[in-house]
Amino acid sequence: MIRSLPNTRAYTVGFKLYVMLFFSFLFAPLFITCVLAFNDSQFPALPWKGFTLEWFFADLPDRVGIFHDPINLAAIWVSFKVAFWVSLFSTIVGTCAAFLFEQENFRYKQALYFLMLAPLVIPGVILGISILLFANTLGLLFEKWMFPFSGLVSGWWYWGSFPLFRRWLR
Amino acid sequence: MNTTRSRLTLPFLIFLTPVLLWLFLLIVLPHIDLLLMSFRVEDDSGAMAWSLSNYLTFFNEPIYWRTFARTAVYAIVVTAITFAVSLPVAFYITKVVAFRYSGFLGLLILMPFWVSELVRVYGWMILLRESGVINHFLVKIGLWRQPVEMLYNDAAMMMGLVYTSMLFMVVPLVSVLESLDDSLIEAAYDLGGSMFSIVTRIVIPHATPGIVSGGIVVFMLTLGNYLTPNLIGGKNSLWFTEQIYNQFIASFNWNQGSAFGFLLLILSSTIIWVGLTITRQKLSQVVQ
Repeated sequence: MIRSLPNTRAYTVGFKLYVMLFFSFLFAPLFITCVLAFNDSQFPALPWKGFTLEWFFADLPDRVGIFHDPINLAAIWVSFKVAFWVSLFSTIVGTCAAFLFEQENFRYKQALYFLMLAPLVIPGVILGISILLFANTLGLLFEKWMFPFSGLVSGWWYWGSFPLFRRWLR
Repeated sequence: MNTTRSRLTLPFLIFLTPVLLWLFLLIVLPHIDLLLMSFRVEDDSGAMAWSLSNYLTFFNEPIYWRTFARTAVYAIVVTAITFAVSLPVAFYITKVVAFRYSGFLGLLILMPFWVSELVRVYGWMILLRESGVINHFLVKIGLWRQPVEMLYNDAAMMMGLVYTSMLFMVVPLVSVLESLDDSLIEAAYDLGGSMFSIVTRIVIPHATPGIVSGGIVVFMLTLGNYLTPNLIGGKNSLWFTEQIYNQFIASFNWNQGSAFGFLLLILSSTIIWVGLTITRQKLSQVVQ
């Protein structure tokens, strides 16, 4: 049953097999993706046509390696920047929230705590579209209020989501 | 305990401001906007008017509510399968394998989740598709005479969803099983308890908070998943998030999309509430 109790051989072997199966299931797609990155073929599929590093370093007419591909390199850089700022802001907000709920006592603490848990039970797609909608609404409001400066504001339609912070801090 | 003491000291304000900004700017106000938007509809003259018609469309068009029901049922089934697959693994890591390997195995489970879901899904597509790796080997060893398309069906889609969300079930289970005292299992064993009774009467009752919190996260991730149903399930497997996406991006009917989004939100909250009630758990305890 557990490590301190005597186990039958069938139990031990069977359990080991199951866990091995589980881990091969877990690693199969990653393993195959890594292996096929070095396959000298136009398609990410078998048969194996020989080892190559061309998918990383080549600059040929029919095959551009990732390090010679400016579009993909730019995309990686954008991902990195977004990830950096998102981690930074999440850490700040998360730390503040942790201190707030551990160190402070205030009215409506329970209610606020419950509200903070709400995003856990909101599907990601709903969070995404609601922020998109709200950003749009805010952008329209801004344009209305700040009519004399609308040229300045109209490019900032995604107000309230992270692109704004990115623009600010770049 | 004095919970009404609220002095506006500086640290309090420093802690409170970012939390409130985040909650209201990114959670509360957007959802109010979503709700308002879902009740608006463009009338014949092109002006916006209040209406329930976005919700009526959902109930009048069978494809929408059938997709909705299908998504809900599949998400529940995926959560159940994920639990069934993960519990033995979590038990093995915490209780069965020698101590010196248990940390290593825990790390090994985390590793695939260092790369994004997209990469993992493409990995599965490389494996499963008609010209894929699995077909290649099966034809080569002569098991199948010709390649079979294994993508774009419900079974493959559910396997992909289970794969994507497994980590979020294993981690809470591992942490809850670590707190289970081995001596309880030993005592039950000494008293002649069978394996079945030990699992159902000691392990699972103790692990209930972990099971519920893992279940909630897996269910939410599955219900709100767009990528896996779209890429592995293909056109055959309608998922409700695809309907929402279509309304927003393809039809450009944001009001209809908001109504669908709100219905999905109501659905997920209801199912989670039912789940918490059945298992007699509290949300604030479960997520800790």
